[in-house]
Amino acid sequence: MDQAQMAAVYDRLKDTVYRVALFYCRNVQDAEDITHDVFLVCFAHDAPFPDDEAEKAWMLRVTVNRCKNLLKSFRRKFSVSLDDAAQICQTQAEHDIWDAVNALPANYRVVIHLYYYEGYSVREIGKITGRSETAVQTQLYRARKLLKDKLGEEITP
Amino acid sequence: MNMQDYRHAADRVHIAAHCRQEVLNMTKHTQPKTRKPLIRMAAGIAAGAAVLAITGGFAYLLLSVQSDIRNPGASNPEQQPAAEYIEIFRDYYETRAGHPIDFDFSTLCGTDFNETWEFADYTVTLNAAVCDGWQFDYIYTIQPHSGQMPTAAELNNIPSVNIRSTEDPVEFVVCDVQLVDTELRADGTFRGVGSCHYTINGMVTSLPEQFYAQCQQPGRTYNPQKFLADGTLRPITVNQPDELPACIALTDSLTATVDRIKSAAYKYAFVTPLGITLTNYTFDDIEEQLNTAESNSYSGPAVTDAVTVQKGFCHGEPADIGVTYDQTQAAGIIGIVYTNSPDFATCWLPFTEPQNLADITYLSLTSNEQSEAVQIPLNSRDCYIDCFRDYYETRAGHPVDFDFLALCGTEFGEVWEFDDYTVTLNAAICDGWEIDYIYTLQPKYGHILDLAILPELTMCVADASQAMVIAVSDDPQEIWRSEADDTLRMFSSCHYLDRAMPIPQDGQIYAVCTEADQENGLADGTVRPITVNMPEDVPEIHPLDDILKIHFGSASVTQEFVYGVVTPLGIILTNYDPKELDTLLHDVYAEPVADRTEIALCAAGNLDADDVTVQNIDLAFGTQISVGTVRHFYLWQDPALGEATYATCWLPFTEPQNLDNVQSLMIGSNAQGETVIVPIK
Repeated sequence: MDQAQMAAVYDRLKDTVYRVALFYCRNVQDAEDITHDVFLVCFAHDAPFPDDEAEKAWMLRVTVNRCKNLLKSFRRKFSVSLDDAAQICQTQAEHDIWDAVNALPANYRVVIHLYYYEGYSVREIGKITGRSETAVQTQLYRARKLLKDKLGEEITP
Repeated sequence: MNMQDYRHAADRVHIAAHCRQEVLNMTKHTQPKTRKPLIRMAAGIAAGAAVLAITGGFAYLLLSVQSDIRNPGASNPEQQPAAEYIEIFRDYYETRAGHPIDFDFSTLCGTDFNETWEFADYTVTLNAAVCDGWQFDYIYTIQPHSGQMPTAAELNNIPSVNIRSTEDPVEFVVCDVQLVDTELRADGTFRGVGSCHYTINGMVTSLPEQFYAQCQQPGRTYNPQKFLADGTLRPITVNQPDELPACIALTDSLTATVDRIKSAAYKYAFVTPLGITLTNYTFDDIEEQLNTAESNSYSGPAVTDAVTVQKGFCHGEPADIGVTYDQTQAAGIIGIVYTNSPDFATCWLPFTEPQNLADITYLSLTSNEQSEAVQIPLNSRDCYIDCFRDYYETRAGHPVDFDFLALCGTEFGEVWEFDDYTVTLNAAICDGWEIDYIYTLQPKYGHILDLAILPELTMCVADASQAMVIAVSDDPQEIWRSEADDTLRMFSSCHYLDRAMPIPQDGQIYAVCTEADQENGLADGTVRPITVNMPEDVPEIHPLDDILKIHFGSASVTQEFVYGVVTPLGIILTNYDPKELDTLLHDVYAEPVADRTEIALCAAGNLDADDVTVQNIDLAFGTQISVGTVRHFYLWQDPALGEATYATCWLPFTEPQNLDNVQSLMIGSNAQGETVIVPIK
């Protein structure tokens, strides 16, 4: 992969990877570091991907794995997480749902994000997160329940 | 609430523009990873232990995890370290322990690395390592290119070797680095010995297949990609233990004072065949401290108060393990204390010789600051048996003299992994009618114990098509909770009610562990075949020869019982034909049956009943069997009838009965003038 190809891949997927990392880690610096790592791993990946979607899914899986490792890391900094990012919310409704999602446990956050934002199916999320479909369904169920408890109403797609 | 709002907000999240150039610039220097071929370790070793590190300078923090080497990996003779390394390890251990140690380091240390790093002023070589599953000790050699031994000031800036468990920033702690030589040897080198430790992280459930050795000048920021590429970080393989035991909470804290250092009340223990590590903290306790506190550590040998260690067995007197650490011993006593805060302390107590932990039920520690011994349960069956005994005696209302050790012939260790919890089936006993079992729920890192969504563990018997028909189960009871990591030990009980699906004579049943909203099946591992010990004769339900009325005073209710089951542990009375109940009992694990109606358990627990006496009417015995009072009582409500319809009560014997030659038992209650015969055969 030459520099132009790398730049194209980066431009296509940078925000996708970054968002998942950010929502998982809730720390801008960590998310940027993970995004760096993920792209370096991707660029060093020898085998070509069958298509862009496969490449995206593969990179998200690497991202999730990096995030999991980081959360296990002893050196992970406790930070104010997404407070800064939350400033991007422009309406009260956006603030409410944003805060509620980001108050979820990490694995629920990422499942919600992949399902509702990236539009992945339960099966695809299972492959990305390394969980069974049943586990993803359980996570979605619990995440929705927690969101409902917090927001006082059911969430709609 | 509409997720569209979330998507709108997320659309505005973008990575900073400067990252693009940084990433693309880094790719110009990145080389593909190169790794040495992996050497598979002994079966049971899995990848991915989480460990940690603080790097930089000599301010190190020790954390701990422990392991239980039952069978350290066999060494490859071709890879055995040189005798000089074995002697260094021996000296290192004995210096720290303060007493002779009879470890077979040639077996423990199976690898001769000879990994070499070249620096401008030094050549560093990793020579050998010993790993007991918790502690990783290694020897490395430094060759100054100047031909001169570094000065004391220079020693702080020479390259040092660190060990990591992964290439990612989830690392080892390097807690102790010492020089073996104070002068250059004949070959122009001097040697160092280092010691690393796992973290006491409750989520560590496996050991890594390989470690990583890292050698660098002090002050460089850790970068796994870069370090792997330039050879700073290298994969290495060492002998590993087969198992990684968990953090053990002490029955009480053990207070010991390390002379001139500190006094600490140790609350947790990690036991390997080579020794005991005591800590007064857990991973969670110190994680935040690690990020906020100055690393102000002390490490090295110190003098402790007397600590005596004895090993105990399930049957028999405690045996002296031969280790007493006290001030009277020569060469100072064990007490290696590592802290990153005045609040945290670690103490390592090495054994004189490796212990076979599989044979030891518990270790008993005493210090002269504590009058009572503190126990470290190694073979957990003892505590399970205590749980079973407590459960039976609580229900019976009197002491019971069952040989629970014999009844509980199985220690399962079946593990189910969920997102939030690890569930382990620990032990079970079965009298042919009732299965009592203990399991452990361990919340995973970052998850808060949520009692509302705990996974459930139940027992089933299976028909030929593997459709599950479960017995009626009690709600699980919490019997132990770890303050360290919220681990719960639960007790649950299943009752055999379904006459069409008896517990098999061979005890082969199924354990089912699911989350609240999870389906189950053999294929996905939620359903596991297990085998429980069974009595020689599976008890059967027989109709009584008359109605037995028992008055439950505390409930102001009199129940009439018409069926009975006799097991060696007691008598179960019911007011229903189990076949009848089976047609009504709806169970989520059963194949759907159209005519089944769900019935609800409307009361269960201990009720004070009027006296009930049981007499063995076989003339050959002719003695009365003490059963105390009826204690355990269940009522099920049939929604169709709207009242408590089905009742069960359990009359435990004081001691197990040999029913081989007994044809029947005679039960009398003062609520009924006549006695009732309970057939056994």
